[in-house]
Amino acid sequence: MAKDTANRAQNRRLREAPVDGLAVDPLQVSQALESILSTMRGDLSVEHLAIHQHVSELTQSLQGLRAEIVKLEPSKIWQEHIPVASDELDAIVQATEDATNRIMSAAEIVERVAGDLDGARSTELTDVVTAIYEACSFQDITGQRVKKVVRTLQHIESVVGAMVSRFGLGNDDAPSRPEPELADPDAKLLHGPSLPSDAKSQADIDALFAS
Amino acid sequence: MAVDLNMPILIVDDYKTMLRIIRNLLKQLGFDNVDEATDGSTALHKLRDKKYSLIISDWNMEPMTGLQLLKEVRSDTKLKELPFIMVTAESKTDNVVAAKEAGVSNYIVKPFNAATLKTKLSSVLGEF
Repeated sequence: MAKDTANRAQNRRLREAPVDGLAVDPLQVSQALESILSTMRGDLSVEHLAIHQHVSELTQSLQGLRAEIVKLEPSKIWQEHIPVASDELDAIVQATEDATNRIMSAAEIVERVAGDLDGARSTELTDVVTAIYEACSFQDITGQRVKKVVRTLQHIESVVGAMVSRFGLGNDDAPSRPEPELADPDAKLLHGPSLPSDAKSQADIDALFAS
Repeated sequence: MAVDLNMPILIVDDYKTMLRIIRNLLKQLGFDNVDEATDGSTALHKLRDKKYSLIISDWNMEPMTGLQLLKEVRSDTKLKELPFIMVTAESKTDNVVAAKEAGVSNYIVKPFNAATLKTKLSSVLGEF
C-alpha cells in the first residue's frame, strides 16, 4: 500500500515535471521504470509481458546511457578541459594585445619621425602609419570573438553539469552557472562581431542609418 | 563655422588598444584634446564633470554599455545635444535601429579606417 502511494506520488511528479530540455530527471524515470517492473509479478497476460519487455529495455537503455556518461568522465570537462581552454584563450588575447601595443609604439615613433620630414616622404610615411593603426584594430575584434567563445564554453560547462546532476553521477563540484539575470533590457542586442559572411559593411550601415 | 580642432572629445572603449588607435587617428586629423574612459558609467561621470563637444563610444562594454550611455546622455538636459558617434563591431540591423532610435549622431562599424572616421566626423561636426 505504502509502495503504491509512493509510486503514485512519483508518477504524479513525473507528469507534472516540465518536459523541456533536461527538466525530466532521467534518474527518476529509471527508478520509476524499475518500480513498475517490480509490480509486474505472477501470472502475466501476453500484453503485460510485452509491456514488461518494453519497460525492461527502456530501463536497460537508461542504465547503459548512464554508464556511457560515467565512462566519458564528465567532471573532467569542468575540472580540466574548460579551464585549460579558457586559460589558453586568455593567453591568446594577452599575447595579441602585447604584440599590438609593441606595433603601435613602433608606429608612433615612425609618425614622430615623419613629422620631422617634409613633403612627399612625410606624407608617405604618415599614410603607412595610418594603415598600421587601422590594422591594429584586429586586436579588439579578436578579443570580442574570444569572449564569445568563452561564453559558449561556459554554457557547455553548465549543460554538462546539469546533465550529470540529472543522472545522479555525484557532481558536487560541478559548476552552477545559471544564465545571468539581464538587468539591461537591451542586453539582447549584444551580439559581438559578426562572421565575415554575415557582417554588414559600412555602406550597408550608412544605408540603414539614412532610411 | 570652422570646426574647432581643440574641442574636447571623450572616447570610450573597454579595449585600451582601441582607445589608443582612435586617439592616434584623431590626432592625425588634428584633434588633440582627447580624454578616455573604459566603460559607460566612467564616461558618464566624466561628461558630468567636464564640458565635451563630442563623444565617440564603443557599444559592447560592462557594466554600462554604449547604448545605455547614449540613452543617459539623451535624457540628461545638460548633455542631450552632445554629438554622439557609436563605433562598434555590433553591425546587425537591430543594433543600428536601436542606436538610431536612441538618438545616436552617427554609426561606425569596426573594423573601420581613418577615411571613414573623417567622413563621420565631418558629417556630425561639419567639414574640417
